[in-house]
Amino acid sequence: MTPRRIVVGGWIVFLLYAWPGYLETDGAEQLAVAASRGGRFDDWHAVVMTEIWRMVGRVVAGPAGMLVLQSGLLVWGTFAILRRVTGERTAAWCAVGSLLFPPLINTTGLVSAEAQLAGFFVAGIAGLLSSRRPYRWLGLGALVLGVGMRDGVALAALPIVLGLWPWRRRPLALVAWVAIALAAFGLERACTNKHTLQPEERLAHNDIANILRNAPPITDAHLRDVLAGTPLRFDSDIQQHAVDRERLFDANSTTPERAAMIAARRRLIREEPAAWLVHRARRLHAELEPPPALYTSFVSSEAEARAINHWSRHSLVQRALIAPVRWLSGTVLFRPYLYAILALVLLPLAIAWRQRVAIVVLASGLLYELSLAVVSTRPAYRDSHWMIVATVLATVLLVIHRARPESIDEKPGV
Amino acid sequence: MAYNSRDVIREQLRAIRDLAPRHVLLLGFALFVLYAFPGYMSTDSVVQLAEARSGQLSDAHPPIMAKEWSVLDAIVSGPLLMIVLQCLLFLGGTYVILRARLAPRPAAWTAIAILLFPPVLTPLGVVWKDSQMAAYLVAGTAAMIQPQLRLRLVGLGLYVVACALRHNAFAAVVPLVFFLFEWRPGVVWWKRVVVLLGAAVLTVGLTFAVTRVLTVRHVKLTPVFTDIAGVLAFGHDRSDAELEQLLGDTLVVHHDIQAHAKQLWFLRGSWRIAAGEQPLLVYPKSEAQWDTLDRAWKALVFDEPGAYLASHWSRFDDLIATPRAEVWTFFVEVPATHPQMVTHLAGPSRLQFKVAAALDWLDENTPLFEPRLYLLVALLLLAVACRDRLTGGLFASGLAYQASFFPVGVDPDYRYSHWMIVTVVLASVILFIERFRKPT
Repeated sequence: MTPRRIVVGGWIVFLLYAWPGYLETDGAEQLAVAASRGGRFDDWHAVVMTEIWRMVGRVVAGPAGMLVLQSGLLVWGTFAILRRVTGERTAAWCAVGSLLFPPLINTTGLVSAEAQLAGFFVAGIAGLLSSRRPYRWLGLGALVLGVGMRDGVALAALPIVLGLWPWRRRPLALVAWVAIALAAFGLERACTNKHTLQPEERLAHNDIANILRNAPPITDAHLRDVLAGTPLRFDSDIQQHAVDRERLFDANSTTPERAAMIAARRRLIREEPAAWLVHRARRLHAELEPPPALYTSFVSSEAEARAINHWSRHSLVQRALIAPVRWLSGTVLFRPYLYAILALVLLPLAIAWRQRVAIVVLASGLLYELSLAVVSTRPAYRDSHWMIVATVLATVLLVIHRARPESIDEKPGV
Repeated sequence: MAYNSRDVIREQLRAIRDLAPRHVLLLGFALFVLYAFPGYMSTDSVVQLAEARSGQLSDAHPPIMAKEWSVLDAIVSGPLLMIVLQCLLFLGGTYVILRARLAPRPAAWTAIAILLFPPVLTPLGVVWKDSQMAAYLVAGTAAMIQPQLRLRLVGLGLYVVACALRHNAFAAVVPLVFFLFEWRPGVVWWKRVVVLLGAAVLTVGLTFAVTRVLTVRHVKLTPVFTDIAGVLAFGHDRSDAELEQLLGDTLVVHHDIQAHAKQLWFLRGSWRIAAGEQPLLVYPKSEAQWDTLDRAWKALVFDEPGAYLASHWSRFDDLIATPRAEVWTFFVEVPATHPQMVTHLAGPSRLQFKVAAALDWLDENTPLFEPRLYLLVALLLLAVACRDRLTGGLFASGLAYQASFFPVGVDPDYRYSHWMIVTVVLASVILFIERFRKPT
């Protein structure tokens, strides 16, 4: 079989596993917005992804187009990266193996910002490694879209841009990274036509409650001052209510109340940095130890199906392909901790062996996971997808290097 | 060297023109899938998908299609693979047929042009027995013109499947077998005729056997309802008492029976006669009622054969001058119940929406979708230009199939004329190529 046929074959197996694309509630909401005429692009979800979905949806309705996009970027991007360090056939098999690796297929089959991010990042790396100028520019473009998928992802793009900068003037790489981050931010602002502050409010609520839980006793008077203007539900024993895990704020908040909550969060972080750090460290731990998740649902209810004009059911082949993934989802293979530790172990080895691409990929994965510690509010398995993809890709690169020491990653002009 | 935009466009066009044949075919396939994705369905299709999943195959629809769908549905749930299969059989078959007369690249371009020709395209995008039948017939014809006997036998196998997809498909298959099949070249004429008759009988016989074996639930399909209403609509006046005596307890209405029959007939929709809001007849629940209906049918038809023929001609005339609504672009026909029946729902993309609007415009403002246009072309070309077995077989097949709807007396629907249109387009293209091909 030719390498291309191997990749296409593996891709088809993946599509059989996930067709026409699994959705969680946020994906369904994004699809509803993307499919609506003159959609209301609010900031509840990644608007860059919703905009891409809207464009893909012009040609293919439903989640199938996005599934093809995210998996295609991942598998062909991986193939393009690996073919630089090994034979095309080996690269093809490794790319297919990575795509079908159960911990990765689980999230890649879910149409989500995390899966899109991984696809665009891998494609971006492949583009920057290319010797052809148009592909390099496309690689930078892919990184912009990847950064636009989640908050805090710009940090993960830093090692990629710095490490793989394909042009001579290296200091420009830092400028390019800033430009990528700004472009992603600008794109997000430009695509959003309704700013609700909802994500910031969710983060503020989460941080305020957890700072109060971890902080030394704070008087009600001081807290009333800090939380002035917020939809606070209690006048007294505020900290105790937080410790008792009661909801501190009314659910239906107004925009000024949200702004007050965001300001209160900042002030509390300044006043109680240790409590915030403890909370965020716990959040990172939670991200690395999320509840087991298998993403194989098409829609959550018939009403949702009708709202998004999309409904499907699992085929026999699909159920057979899901079965081993379901079985493995309860094992250590599905614990992000494993990949974080592996990445920390491999990073010094990659440095020692001077494997530039592996270093970049590992650093990006780890920085991404660290960024989750700052922005995460509800840990989920899919949050760690890029770190897992990066670790798997770096592992393959290093194994290939050890198996064929002469195939050192060479990059013309760098 | 300085390039201007015209050079760039010219270069791009040249690149497209120089695409390898398989890439051209892939392009056509992709365009077709984008048009139909993930597959349009009507009530018939939804019922068949439900049957395919339950395994309770009835012969109200071709059980072989439900069986085929159950296999494909086990791989990818829903109509997608059925659409892909239809497209692959049709496109592949058309390419192979054209390849016999054209170089690979022009054959590929012509094949996708035929696939995407609106009157051919629109039914092919729907999971219908009519579209499946056309796809199998084209693939079978492609196999039938091959020099190897085993491929011609594969062609016969494809004809068997096509034949099992519609009750009247044998009318399309028999002329094709007659014109195209040969066991061995150079056989004397009477032996050839014997082989052809044997092949035709075998094909049709196998079809009945396949349908019988696969059917779990038998459904009685009969023209008695439409024929009774048709004869009453076109026949002489009859009193209520006479009709009460003739139709007995199968009657639902008891006053102005003939007027009611006329009204139902001209409203169209055979289902109204025994199942609508104000039906004329009951759907029989006992053998005695069936016997009553059969007796009434014989009495009416043999009493007034002219009215019987007039009613059938009226339906046939409607069929070849199909009224609008040929462009079927529904993913399910009844949104309230169908999605739940088959756990499937889809919506159109913007592209599909625009293409559907353009096709609707063509349908409304041009005669492109009028079957009688193709009927005329077929008759004309068959008489004037047809000199070879392939085009003769195609024209004869299309015309015989269309004519087979006369005795059946179905409600007009564009898809029933699809095979005739396909044969006319394909045969006309072949004749055009033969006529204008540069001598080599």
